[in-house]
Amino acid sequence: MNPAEACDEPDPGRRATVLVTEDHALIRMEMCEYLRDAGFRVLEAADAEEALQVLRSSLEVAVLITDVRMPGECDGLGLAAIARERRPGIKVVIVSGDAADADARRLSDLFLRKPYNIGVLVEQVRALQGDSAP
Amino acid sequence: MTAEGGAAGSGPTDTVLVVDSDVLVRMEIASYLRDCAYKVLEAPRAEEALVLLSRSKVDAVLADVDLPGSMNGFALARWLREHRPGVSVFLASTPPMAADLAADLCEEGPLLARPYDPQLVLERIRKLKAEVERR
Repeated sequence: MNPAEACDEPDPGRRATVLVTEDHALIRMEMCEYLRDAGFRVLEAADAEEALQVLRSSLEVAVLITDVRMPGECDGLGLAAIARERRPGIKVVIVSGDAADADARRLSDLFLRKPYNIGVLVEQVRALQGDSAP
Repeated sequence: MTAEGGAAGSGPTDTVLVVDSDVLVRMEIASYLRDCAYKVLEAPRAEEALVLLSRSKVDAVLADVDLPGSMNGFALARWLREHRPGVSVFLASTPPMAADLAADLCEEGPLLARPYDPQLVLERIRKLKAEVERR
């Protein structure tokens, strides 16, 4: 039995893959759970380095959601720039506590200022995914 | 990779916490278990696992022995034995370590091998769940 037979698959049209990059475990867990409940396939990265490993792999990623400030050598802005370069079709969502972050706005398809409404985030991601649909 | 069936014999809301610092290995087994109808939490380090355990009901923990930071998989297993005795613990290593190392820490030694054999992981989780329900 394959996964589609093992459980009720959500609407296939909404099964785009979202890569969530957030170093705060509880925030990441909540965001990922919300996105999965909304029907997305979600990959979790605890920092930019983990996200880069995913982007270097063959795993499909339609949307990257990343925080700006993260531990390690690469922050969310560096990650977004690399994602743009390696995955030209990817949609980038950046969340930041700094509303005046010009680099975040320039590098993102969607910029959300913290604190953000998780329901709004999901709707915006859904809209972005719709924008990239053929 | 395909999942061989759902979480038969287990409630579909059973939660498994996967603790592994290799993001691709962690994602692969987490994705498989989700396809089998488990709720799966992910942590790259034991310290993050403790944060998630403080806020979520977790039925089983699958952890790599070799975790970065101040707490490896064995230490995490000892913590779980002391503070969360009802949580099933599965340890894994690359390459597989001797069974006696895990005998008092792993529910069902020997250690699982990494990268994970997803079907074996699923079998272990199901088997232990069934044993717990029989008690």
